Amino acid sequence: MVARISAKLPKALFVLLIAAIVAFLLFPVFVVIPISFNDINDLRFPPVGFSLRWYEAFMADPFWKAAFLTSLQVALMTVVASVSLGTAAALALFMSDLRLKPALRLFLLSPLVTPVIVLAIGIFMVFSRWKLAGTITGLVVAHSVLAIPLVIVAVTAALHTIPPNLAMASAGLGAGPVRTFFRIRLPLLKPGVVAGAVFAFITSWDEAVISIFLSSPSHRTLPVLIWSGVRTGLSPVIAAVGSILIIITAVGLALVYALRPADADNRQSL
Amino acid sequence: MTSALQLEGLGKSFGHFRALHDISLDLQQGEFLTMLGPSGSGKTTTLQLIAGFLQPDRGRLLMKGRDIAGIPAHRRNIGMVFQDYALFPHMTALDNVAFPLESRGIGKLERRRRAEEMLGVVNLGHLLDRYPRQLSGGQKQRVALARALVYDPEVVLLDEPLGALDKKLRTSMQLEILRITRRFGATVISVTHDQEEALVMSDRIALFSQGALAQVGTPKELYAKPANAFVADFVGESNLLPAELTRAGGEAVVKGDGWLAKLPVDRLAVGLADGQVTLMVRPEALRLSAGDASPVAQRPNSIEATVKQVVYLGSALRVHAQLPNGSIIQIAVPDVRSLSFVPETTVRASWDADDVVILQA
Amino acid sequence: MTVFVSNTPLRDAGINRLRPRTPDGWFLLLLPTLAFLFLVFLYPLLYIVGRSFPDYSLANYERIFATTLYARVIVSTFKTALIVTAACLLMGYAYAYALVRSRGVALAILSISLLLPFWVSVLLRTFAWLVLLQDTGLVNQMLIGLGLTDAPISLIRNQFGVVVGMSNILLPYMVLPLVAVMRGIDPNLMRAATISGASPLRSFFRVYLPLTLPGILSGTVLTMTLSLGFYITPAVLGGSGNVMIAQLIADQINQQVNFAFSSALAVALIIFSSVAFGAFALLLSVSKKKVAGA
Repeated sequence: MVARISAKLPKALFVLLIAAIVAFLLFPVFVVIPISFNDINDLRFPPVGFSLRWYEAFMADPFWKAAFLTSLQVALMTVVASVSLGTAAALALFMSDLRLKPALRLFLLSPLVTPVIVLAIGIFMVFSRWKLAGTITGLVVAHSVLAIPLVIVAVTAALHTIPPNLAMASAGLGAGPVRTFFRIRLPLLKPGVVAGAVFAFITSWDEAVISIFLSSPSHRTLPVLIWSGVRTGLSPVIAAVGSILIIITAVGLALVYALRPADADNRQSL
Repeated sequence: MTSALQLEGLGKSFGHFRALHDISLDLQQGEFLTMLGPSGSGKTTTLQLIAGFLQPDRGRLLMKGRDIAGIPAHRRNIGMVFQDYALFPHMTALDNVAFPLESRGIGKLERRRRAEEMLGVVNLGHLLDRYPRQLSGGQKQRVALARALVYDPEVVLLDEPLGALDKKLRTSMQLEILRITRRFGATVISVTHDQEEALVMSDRIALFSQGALAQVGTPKELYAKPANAFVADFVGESNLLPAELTRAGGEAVVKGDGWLAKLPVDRLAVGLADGQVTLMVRPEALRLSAGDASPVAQRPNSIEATVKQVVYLGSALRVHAQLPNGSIIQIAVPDVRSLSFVPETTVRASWDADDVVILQA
Repeated sequence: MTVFVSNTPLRDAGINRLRPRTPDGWFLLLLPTLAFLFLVFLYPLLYIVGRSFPDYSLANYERIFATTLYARVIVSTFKTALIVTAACLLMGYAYAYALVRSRGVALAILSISLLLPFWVSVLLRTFAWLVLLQDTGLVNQMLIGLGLTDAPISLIRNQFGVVVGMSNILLPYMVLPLVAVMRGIDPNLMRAATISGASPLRSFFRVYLPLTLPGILSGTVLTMTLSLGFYITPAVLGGSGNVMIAQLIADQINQQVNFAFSSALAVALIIFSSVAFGAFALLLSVSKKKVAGA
């Protein structure tokens, strides 16, 4: 029995360690929501009282409202731009036989590993000369740079889940590649495109670093306003705004999860 | 002879599923025992209990008389060859074989010498520095065997050792494994679902069925004297005919549907009662002759049937014939030239009283 | 849509090959995206490089290495990145192992706990840590409540806060490559090590750890490169003693309005990241070869 107990102890400690890491990962996400309901003007946790006053304050404040609308507009436009450019690129990469393919793929995905601050000042300096800094277009273009690689990754993953036999069966039935593409591949691609769109939306919706440089007093996104809020004084309004952002993110991810291909479960893909 | 390993009433459940009940086995030093059975019959679970990867719910495991329940797998001094070999991909063949010696704290030079020697025994002395990726299936098998034997373990476990090899290689590796394990006098437990492999390699076979032992015995015993219909059916091919047993003096009379068998009472298993039984006769114990429509009582130990199909096997013929009650029996015909048994002819299949086994129905 | 048309016999191509050989057609589809990224990704990066050499002079780079302050920032950036990477590796290895071993509900919990925060904005999570770690925050309340300290301990405006915030954000980048590698390890290998007489510790260090080395290196290189360029988290949770390069780059634009020097710092950051990336990539290819046994 002694041997059994000493064998179980490390396992219990390990479970405890993992539980601690789960808490470490989730706590900052979930702590924002309760503190937004504080009834006092302080970011207290656990919250003191319960009120919606910080949500009301958010709705009443013209700056927050304007920022919300700007964020929404920029994010939706980014989705349109990056999904069309990213899907086209993913298809081209998947279908073509070019020798250069690996190099091109590396280039298309490299915005993911470029330090954002470097990209931010580069885009800021170039856009200032092009008179794009401080405009909606400038924000959309810059956010699309970050979103395109994510769309490419999502669509490429979907392309790989389409059984090759299906395309071959279609071809065998006399359909040319063009027909095969529109009738077979494109409909099956939908989950990948939706996932890419959600990722693009979240990326733009959450993007702070580039936006800080590109925003102007008339065009500020929510993260830019949160940023100045965090740097000047901690108002519970930030927690209310943050809660809204988190809920939107969670809904988006749930959407991706619901639309993924049925056999994804079997492959245990993360 | 000392017992190398004893299993006493081992039982194991997974949730509500009783994977294993009341397994008792006694393994002699130097013996090659095969655990045979269909998948899910408990043989692999038994192997994992012996290895120490699972703990039994009931029963005892004794190694040389010592209870090994509390001893963790890495201190049991057991060797094992896994189904897919499980060679360490980041180590050379030599390092793979030296690994158990390293774990036992044996010095670098000594373990290199012993690993080299062991790889020589399995005829891989020239491939010491190859990585598993660079070895063929048969070569990996030999490295795995060398790794399991190099530290002179009390028992060597083989988990479907030939499952991943093609048919031809399997036959030659069967003999190779026997040669090597015999050379070391190793006590071996092999798990397989291939009855042919079990018959070729084993001193004894333990046949599993639904988590219990159906029969333990030499290959010859299992083949010639199966304890029940499951054993008769699983080991080799057999014809099973339902019948009724009555004892008359020193003679046992077995009466079936349109046939009659007579044999001495002392050929019956102990405890077999009169009444419903099954007669088992192997296809090769049957002889074919032309049908003669003689009355049943005049021609005991034979049965009349209609040929339905004749299968050519190269070295022999296999005749499938239908009995009057509709069931099919198989008859092995060693002479390929006896092509007189064409389909739809009536034939008589007869047997020697010594070649049948009467089983509980 | 004429883009798709080519003069290859379509039907045969479709039957014989999964991906029909119409390179010119598909390549045209790639051009808009390539043009877009050339213009608003590659060009700005090249522009920075050009801007960092005003009149072809190396003065800005000399200034980086000649000024103690900047040299200190570079050292501190690497130090923070190393600590964060080490923290992520320790937590991430255990987490990935647990994730690979778990099934059902546990697997779902571990996957969601990893992926949901991954998609919540860096700014918000940093804000949350600011709230949790401030003098009146939950962590200090708990420490005081447990009697471990009388007065609040400073957990932000110092390296501790930065490391906590950054490792929280970067942990998934460490876990995901590790999970991918661990999933590919045959569970029988560990059994083989055990039955060969290796203690749990020896099995781990001689078999499991070497086999997960490619995952360790990919996770480390990702975490390391990303942490070198972190801006938001150190700016909010750090103090004046542990400024990171990214903050310096931003300050040179926002406060000093010195575009040229900011550009030089950005180029230096890219070079540091590339060197770190290259070094690990080299180790990775060596370790992969070793594991593959080639």
